[in-house]
Amino acid sequence: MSLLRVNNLRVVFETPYGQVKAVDGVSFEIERGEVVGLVGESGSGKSTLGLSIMKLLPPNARILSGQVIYNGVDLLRLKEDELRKIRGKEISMIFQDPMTTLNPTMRVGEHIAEALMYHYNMDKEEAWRIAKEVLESVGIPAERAMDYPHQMSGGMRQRVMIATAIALKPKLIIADEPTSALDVIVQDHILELLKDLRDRNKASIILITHDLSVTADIADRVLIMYAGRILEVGTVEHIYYHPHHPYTQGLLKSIPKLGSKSELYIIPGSPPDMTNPPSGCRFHPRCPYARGICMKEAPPLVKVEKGHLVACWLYIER
Amino acid sequence: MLMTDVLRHVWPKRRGIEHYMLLMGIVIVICLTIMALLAPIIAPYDPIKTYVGKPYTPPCTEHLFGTDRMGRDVFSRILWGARSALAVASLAVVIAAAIGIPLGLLSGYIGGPIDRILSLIMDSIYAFPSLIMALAVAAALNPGGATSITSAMINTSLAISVVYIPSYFRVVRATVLSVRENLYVKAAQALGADVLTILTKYVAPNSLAPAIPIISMNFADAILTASGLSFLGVGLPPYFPDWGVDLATGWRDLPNGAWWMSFFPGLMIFLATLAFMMIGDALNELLNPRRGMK
Repeated sequence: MSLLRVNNLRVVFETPYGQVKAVDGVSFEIERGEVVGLVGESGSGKSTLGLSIMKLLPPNARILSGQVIYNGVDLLRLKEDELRKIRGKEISMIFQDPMTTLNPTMRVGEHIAEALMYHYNMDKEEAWRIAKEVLESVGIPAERAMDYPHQMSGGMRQRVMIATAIALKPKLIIADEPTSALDVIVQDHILELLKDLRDRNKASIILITHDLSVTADIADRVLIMYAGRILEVGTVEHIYYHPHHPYTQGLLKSIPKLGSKSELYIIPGSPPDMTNPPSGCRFHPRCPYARGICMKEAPPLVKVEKGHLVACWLYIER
Repeated sequence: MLMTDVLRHVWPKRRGIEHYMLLMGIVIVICLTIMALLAPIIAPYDPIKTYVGKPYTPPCTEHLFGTDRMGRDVFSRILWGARSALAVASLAVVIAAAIGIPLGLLSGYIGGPIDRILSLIMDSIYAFPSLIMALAVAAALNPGGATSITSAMINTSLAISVVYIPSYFRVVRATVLSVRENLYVKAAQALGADVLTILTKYVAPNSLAPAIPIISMNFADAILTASGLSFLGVGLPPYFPDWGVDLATGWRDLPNGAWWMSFFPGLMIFLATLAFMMIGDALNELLNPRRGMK
């Protein structure tokens, strides 16, 4: 049985301009110890997907249908206090912006100690001892545990965030753009930390990012998301060396390469307005291969080889 | 280490007018506190005892601030008056903050119908003219006069505090509305923190700064309102040494030329109000996160 299985999840946001279909029928699963990269551009619904697994969506969001089955339990049906026991302890989250995810009036060690205290009923002393250990494991000296967040740099704060996320030894970590706000060298350290975490704790990681190179470095499998739907799923080899979907191909072509003389490729058009998404395949207005059927009907995800699925009419015999 | 940080922030090398306002306000408040604490020792006469001197004696060496129409020493009454002024004002502010701040936190964080109802109640209190509101509450609490000094002081404080609850509620609620959107609140939820933990450890410490200047502003206003209530006869009893009471009884003798009976209590009310106003204004300026950007 896989650790997490998302079935046909549909999430909308109620806005004054209409319903935004942020996640529209997404299904996938994650095995224990697996790292899955969830790649998409801004507004593709990848962060919403991450938040709906934790059921931490903003009040104007509604889950229309679907299941999020973690260890055999549908999280979407759990009551708030049952969910609280899972959040942090079983599934934890690393957010994008390290400058705003730490409480400015709380010492960094306390963020960790607090969580240990309410999940394991630890006394204060022991919780702080473990908090310091965890901070050291991500490369922050124990004496900095008494610092306030403003006394630390962005990279250090992101390490603290990671320390908080791993302190309770969760089985699944949802990392929402954990490296986007950091410079490249710090990015590398953070990715190493995540890899280390997977190896040591056998944790599964969902890595949400818009950066294909980050996923290439760490992920076992990659999900390509566009306008609330998954367009292609495969191993890193599948996606990078044999991309099938025209969108994935476009994404790969638009990575700048050092020394290349040719002009950088840009996928034409812009991401769709999600209050009124395109009919049929959501990518058809920007797709060079679009045909009649692409405008009428959404293509299902079909297998092109073992473990490699694509949602595109080009690969479906009719 | 943290304490020195705070001190350096409040009293830096480069100082503006607000730093000196803060210092002056604090010095006056400390003097008032010393007056209140040491009143039994430094007061030359019993403040309630009548005919300790000739009635209507103008200020002289024996009676620094003169005597009133019943021959009570005005200076002694002023010293003792600091006690009731500080006691009533601080009690009123503490009660108002203790009710207004938690309600504001809760209302802002939870939202929904509870927030609607609480906001409606607070707005209707706020819309009411404050002295009339306090007057009504004081009259309701003290039908036919309080039984003892303590209960008169508590009732006066309660009456005043009702007026101030909405100002704490509104300021705190408004701050919570923006604080609760911070990512660290969501991160705390993602770690499994319950509502109480999030409110007390994440939302409250980041939402209370705007309420601090209000505390000292209210303190100033409370001294005035307490005097007003005593002046109107629903606060403290007339024989009691209180600036408001003395002002109320003293002003009737102004036409006779006995200015000292109302001037000194008035001066004290003015000084105390000014001191707290200065502290409030200075804190408002110093605690503003945008400070130093202009």
